[in-house]
Amino acid sequence: MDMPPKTADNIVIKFRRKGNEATLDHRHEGHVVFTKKTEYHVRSIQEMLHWNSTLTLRQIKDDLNWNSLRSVLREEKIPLFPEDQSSDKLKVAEYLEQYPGIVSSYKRVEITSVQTIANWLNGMIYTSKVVVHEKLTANTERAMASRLRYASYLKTQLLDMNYYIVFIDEMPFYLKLSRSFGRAPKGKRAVVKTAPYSDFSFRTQVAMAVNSEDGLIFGARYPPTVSQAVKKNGTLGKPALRPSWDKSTFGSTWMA
Amino acid sequence: MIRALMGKLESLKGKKVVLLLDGAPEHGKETELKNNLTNCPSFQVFADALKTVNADLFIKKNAANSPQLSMCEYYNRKLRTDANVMRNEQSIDALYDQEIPHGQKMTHRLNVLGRIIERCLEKLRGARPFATCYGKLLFFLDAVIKKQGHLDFTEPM
Repeated sequence: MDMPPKTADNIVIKFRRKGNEATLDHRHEGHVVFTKKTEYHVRSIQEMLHWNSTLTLRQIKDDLNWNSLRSVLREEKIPLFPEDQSSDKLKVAEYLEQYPGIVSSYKRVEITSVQTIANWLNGMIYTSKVVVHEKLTANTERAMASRLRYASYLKTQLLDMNYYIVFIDEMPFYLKLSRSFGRAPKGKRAVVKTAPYSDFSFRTQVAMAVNSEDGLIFGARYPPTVSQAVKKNGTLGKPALRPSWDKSTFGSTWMA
Repeated sequence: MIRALMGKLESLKGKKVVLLLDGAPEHGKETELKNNLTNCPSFQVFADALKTVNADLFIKKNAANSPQLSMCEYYNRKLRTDANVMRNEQSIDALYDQEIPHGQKMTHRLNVLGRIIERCLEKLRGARPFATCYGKLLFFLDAVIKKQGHLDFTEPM
């Protein structure tokens, strides 16, 4: 049961003193959970994040507050300023200043802290994660038609024992590596020391060939090498580290 | 790669060998890629060797913007994760921070990175094929076929 022995001892002692009554958990009796969260909030947050997963807690909070204000205005039959279509914290303040009568109604539904949004998101099992970039051209009609042809072809071939498919790809490794998030005292920035160079020129390319039955059948790395660039006037420049991998060589390198 | 495939020549007997090149637009057009390959002297050696075991060779290109549909991508991710974990190990930190004469620091750091990658590649070479990669690939292929070519990027790889 994974219960600490001390807790188990206490339960036994209480049971001996009070009988079955001691085994009942009364902690939550009479406890009222107050939350401003409504079904509407949950749906709004889901919809907001569906269209833009990178919204900050503050943006979500402001959007929800703006919607709350609009519903208060609607109830009070106060028309919106004609130009107001989007959420704006300053606009909320303007409305409250102009219509003091709605302040108390608004304050009842206003979300004051971003932590509230964070807690709601936790409850909705929304987690913070690395953003995946989907290219705008990834799902165009043309791309989809080409992908459908490819997927149908590949699935047939993968399941056919007469085919031996070798997947070939390459990927870069950059010398610089550090986490994007770090810890530092409040009011101070988290600083990591790195070498003064552009990591693009120091990338190590890794080429791989994979088969579903044999796993990795080929893997090689192409680190940058010291070479001299040829200047416009034909003379050689200073020896420096340069990438040994060229995009144009993708394809031929595999046969090396 | 040619050496690795030549070593498997017996198991390729009578099979149709498909070289599926990554479809990233920066790798060039399919014809360009094919030309690059076929112009290599060793390509002909490989093609001839395949003929001796009655195997056929095809060169294809993956669909663009579809990393989920390439098995290599799953291995790439595995390699990157392994390498990044190793790069954060204390022993590697110590290697990076060794006292190296001025002017050789960068090469030294590149060498350390190279050693990390090589160690991770070695681990992958010795590993049995990952069934989960195959399963995921089939899952995405089915999903794409079902959705008429639409690729859902929100699905975890």
